Amino acid sequence: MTGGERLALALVRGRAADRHAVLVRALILLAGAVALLVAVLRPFDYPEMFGYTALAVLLWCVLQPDSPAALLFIGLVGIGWAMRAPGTIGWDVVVIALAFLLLHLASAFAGQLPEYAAVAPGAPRRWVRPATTAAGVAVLAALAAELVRDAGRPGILLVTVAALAGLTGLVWYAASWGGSQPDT
Amino acid sequence: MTGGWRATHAQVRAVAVAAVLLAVAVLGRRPDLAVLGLPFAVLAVWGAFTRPSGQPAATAVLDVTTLFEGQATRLRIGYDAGGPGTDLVVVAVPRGRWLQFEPRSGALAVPARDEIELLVRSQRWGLRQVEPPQVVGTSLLGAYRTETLRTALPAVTTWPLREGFTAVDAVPRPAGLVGLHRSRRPGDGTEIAGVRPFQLGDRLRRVNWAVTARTGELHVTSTWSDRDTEVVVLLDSSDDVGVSDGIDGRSSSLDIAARAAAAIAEHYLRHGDRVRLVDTGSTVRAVRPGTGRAHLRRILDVLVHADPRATQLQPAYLMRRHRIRAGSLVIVLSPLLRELILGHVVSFVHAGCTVIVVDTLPADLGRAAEYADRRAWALAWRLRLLERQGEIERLGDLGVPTVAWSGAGTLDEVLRNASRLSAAPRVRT
Repeated sequence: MTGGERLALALVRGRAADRHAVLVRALILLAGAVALLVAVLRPFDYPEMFGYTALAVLLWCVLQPDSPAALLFIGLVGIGWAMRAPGTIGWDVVVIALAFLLLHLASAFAGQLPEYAAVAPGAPRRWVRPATTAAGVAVLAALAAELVRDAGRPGILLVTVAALAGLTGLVWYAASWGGSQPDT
Repeated sequence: MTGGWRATHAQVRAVAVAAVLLAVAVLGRRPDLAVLGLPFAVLAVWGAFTRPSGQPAATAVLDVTTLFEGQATRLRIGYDAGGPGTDLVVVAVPRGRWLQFEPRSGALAVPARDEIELLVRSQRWGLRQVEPPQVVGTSLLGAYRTETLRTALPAVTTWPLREGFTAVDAVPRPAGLVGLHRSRRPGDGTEIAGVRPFQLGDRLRRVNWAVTARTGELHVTSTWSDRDTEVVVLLDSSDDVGVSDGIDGRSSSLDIAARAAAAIAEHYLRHGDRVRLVDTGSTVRAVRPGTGRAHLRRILDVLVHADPRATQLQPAYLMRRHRIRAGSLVIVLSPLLRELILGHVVSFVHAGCTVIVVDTLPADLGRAAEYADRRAWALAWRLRLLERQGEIERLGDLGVPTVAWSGAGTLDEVLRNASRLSAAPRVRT
């Protein structure tokens, strides 16, 4: 298939796309753009190469949600952040965490259906609880980390890991409560 | 099953991002990375824990496998999840050229349920194969996915009968014993011929008591007998000229011919005549003369197989094989672009049949020729049309009228003329 044919096919598929698929892809783009902008616009010197590459990968992610693109995007932004960010907790961390979460969920939803598929009302209804739980965990973790910042006490790392393990157990319990419900 | 529940890119992503970010957060004492990684840990655990364990199975059934053009049927896809955990079922049916789906894309994502329905509308006559639907189940958060085996579906037989066709109640040579056409001979029927004195053998229910009382002599009401005729519909499937857009758009010559054949057959069968269908492009598929609704179904079932790529029958072979009787009414449906069909017409005329040619060349084909990008093509087409006009005039000289198909009433005038001619006194030379 030539480049022109590929482009024509992409345009045809774009025209045939269902509005739900377009909306979900717009969410991917929005979440990725927010994460990238927040990371790039921080005062520290964010590596430019990571930013440009992540932008290209974000477009790939929008076009092919069921691919490693989203993982690559999160990896690129995350590595750039880990390399240069001071490691403190602020609103920017929470925003990036929520943007990552939205990008992940939108990619997961878009990746499981063809772009031309009509989506029945209520299809993503069961995703609301895990999504809000994950978002709440991000905010709570940020608050908790801010509270124990500069505690400087010996064994604080152990306490943090124990807290993470406890949180995971809590999530596991919540998931088991939801997963045992019949589907239909 | 084509494979069990497999982790998707989403689940791999959740696990990988959570593992890497939390590990770096702990080892590098970076609480910000823990904040970034924790939501993914939640989703990874949630997705893994709600992984379905059952083996899903899907079935696909069409409500009806025989439709008229433009009619729709329901495609029911049964989904047995095999256990809890399935969140979303995605059904996608590959789109065929002449099949229209509702939803239009033929793909639907619905929360897991036992039955999913799609509407399938056939837009053109013929055998329309509905491709096996692809059914994919996904677990919560799109973490795991499985595809069920595709179930083969029977083809949708689409009959070309759509518009109602009517013609005058006149056939040139009614011959049989039953039917609705008024014959020129007295006998049992419904059309009153007159009142005459009673004769031995007359039925008592025919006694006209009013005239009997007035004249004092037994009189009966006589009727013309109702007769049938053998109608031969000859379908010229050697060409399919023009553009076919299905029932909602333009029609090709074969579209017009098939629809006209179905409509004519339905009309004459309704009037009790015997109808035979002959397809010039089929050595095995033909319908012997018959009557009734079941016979119409036989004709329609053969019509859906009309194919311009089939081997065309030679006139001599066609006459020998089908043994068409003298006196039959032969209606030839053809775009009149090949000499072969003229040979068929001449054979029928020589066999003593009344032949009417219905021209099925699409009327808008001339305009298409004008818009063709090559001027030579347009000129060649005009020359061919002139030749064709000459051939139609030669058919007229043979006593074969040619009329363009225009639905109901197309055959009225030519049938009246043919009936008048056959009723006229003849001079033997």
